[in-house]
Amino acid sequence: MNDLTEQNAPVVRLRNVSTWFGHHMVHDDISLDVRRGEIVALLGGSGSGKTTLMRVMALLHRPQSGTVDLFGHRLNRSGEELQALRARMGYMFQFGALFGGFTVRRNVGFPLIEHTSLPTRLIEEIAQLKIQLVGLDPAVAGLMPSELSGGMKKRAALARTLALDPEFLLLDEPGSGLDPASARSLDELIGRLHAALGLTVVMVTHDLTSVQRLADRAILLHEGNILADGSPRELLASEDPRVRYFFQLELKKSQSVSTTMAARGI
Amino acid sequence: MSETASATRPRIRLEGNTVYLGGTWTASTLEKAYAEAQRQLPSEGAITVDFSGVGKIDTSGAWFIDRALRALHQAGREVNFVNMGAGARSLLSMVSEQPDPRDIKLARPHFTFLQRTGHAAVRVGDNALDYLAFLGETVFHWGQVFTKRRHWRLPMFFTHLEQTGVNAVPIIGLLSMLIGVVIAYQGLYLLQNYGATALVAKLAGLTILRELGPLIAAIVVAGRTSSAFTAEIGAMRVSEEIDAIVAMGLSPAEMLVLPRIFGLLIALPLLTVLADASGLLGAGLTAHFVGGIAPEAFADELAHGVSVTTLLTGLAKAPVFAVVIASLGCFHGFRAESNAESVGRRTTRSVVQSIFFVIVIDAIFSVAYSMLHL
Repeated sequence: MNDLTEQNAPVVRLRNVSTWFGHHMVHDDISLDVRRGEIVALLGGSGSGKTTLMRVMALLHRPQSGTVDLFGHRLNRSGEELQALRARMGYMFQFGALFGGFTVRRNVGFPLIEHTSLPTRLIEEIAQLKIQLVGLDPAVAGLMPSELSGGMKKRAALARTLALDPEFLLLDEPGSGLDPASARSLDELIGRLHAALGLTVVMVTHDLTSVQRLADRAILLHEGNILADGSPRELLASEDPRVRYFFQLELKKSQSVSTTMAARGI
Repeated sequence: MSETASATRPRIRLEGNTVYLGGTWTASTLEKAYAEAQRQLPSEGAITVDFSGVGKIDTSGAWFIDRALRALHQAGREVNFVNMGAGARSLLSMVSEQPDPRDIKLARPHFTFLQRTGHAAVRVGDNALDYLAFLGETVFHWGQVFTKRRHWRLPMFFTHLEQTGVNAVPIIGLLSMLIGVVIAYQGLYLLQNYGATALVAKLAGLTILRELGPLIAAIVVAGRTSSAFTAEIGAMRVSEEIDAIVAMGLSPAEMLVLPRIFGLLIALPLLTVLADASGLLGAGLTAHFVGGIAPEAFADELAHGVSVTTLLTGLAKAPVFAVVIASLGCFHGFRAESNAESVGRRTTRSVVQSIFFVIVIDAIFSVAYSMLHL
């Protein structure tokens, strides 16, 4: 039945998606499937349309042409259906997008308050648990977002994204602004949740170590097209000079960081 | 998928010392298990939890199960999990590793009515001092940049002149003309009892030039402009643009406050002249069409009955209003915290306070004028 078609359908199916901002073309006829349980890393230079592609997947941005199927449902304009589908995904914004007027715990509990009818006490407990799961100090729960550091905001945002244990997680640069150890523990958390809940994850990232650690598939965007699509290992071994160029640039950056760190005895 | 697993509600069945769990244990279904889970578990012996019937489970469900078992763990009782899927196992171990979220008490400051009243009173004083400090700082900067033409920021000044002045022309023109119509209408109605309808020009002239023209212009500007100033500067705070200006070694007072204050200082007196003129126009038209007074007679009466001093006493208020409105708007923008709620609260306060002080200052002017016999 409906459930069965959903089981077999890819979580996201993009067909011939093209997006423009004014006269500037961001995506030129992109087709792409994200299968259930995959961790997909979107790579590409700045301005290559990674975030916009995620926004298209999350139904936050309507492409000028092409179709988006989510969980096997073709998206038409019915608002209620859209909302129901959106409740099944979690989108973590690059700068957190925490509600400034709520405490961290209220922020994390907010989706539970709105989408479930659980008792307030239980919601508070679950919110607190999620805050601890993402590695924040338990006491952070009582702070306002403006009192958090960049890294703490990031974790709090992830906790809120995970509030409803969404089947489909979209992460916009989850590791940026975190120190390497925190980025690694964040990756580990995502990995554990992925294993335990069978999550599907799409993430935009610039951190190649994180890609190699976590992703089973990497997609490299270049000038509005998919330049390469495969396992991180395959992409790194690619013969395409443009792919090699991208990775070498990025590798050099992380190598130089590690040599500097080694030189400083870190 | 088995029949039990696809059931949507979570199920709990107790047999001896074994708890059989079944159904779906997710945030959206848990609510139905809440009552059932309150039942007493056997008070002695090892507990076995059988997961064979469990279909979907998420972190919330795992916590729900874990919270019931924590007390047993603490009491040293043995708890065994059987027939558990790999997903449920890793979820439950992930959750049970965490310190108990029920133990984290967030200290919420609680204030009594008396304390809150005290705080509010102190805050009023603090705000007043803060505002004076802000004004002082602005005047200080004005003194600094006055001699250096490079720091005058003329393009910004003209932008604000346009936004606060030119763009307000239609609304202020229309409103004050309507006020003129109302004044003349009421005046005619009153004066006709005494056969003195000709005096309507003097009545309307005095009220509009001295009080209503400056007041209408100032109140509309307070609503339009002080809110805009607060929201603009507040949004710049949120996006750290103010910090960027400071970090570049520039002065936010010079770049943001002075052009706004000077822009309004020019715009508001001009708008007041406009309000005066269109108010008189409205009154004149009403006198003509309703009272049958010829425009020439109206103008004549106006010229005899209303002196230039009256016009000037009204106009003299406009610069004071302008400084109060612009500086309050900027002040609240700078005092906004970096979240949307605070910007909204500050915007409200800047509008309310601007209008409040416009009226207070107008009253002070009236008293002062009467003491000076103007």
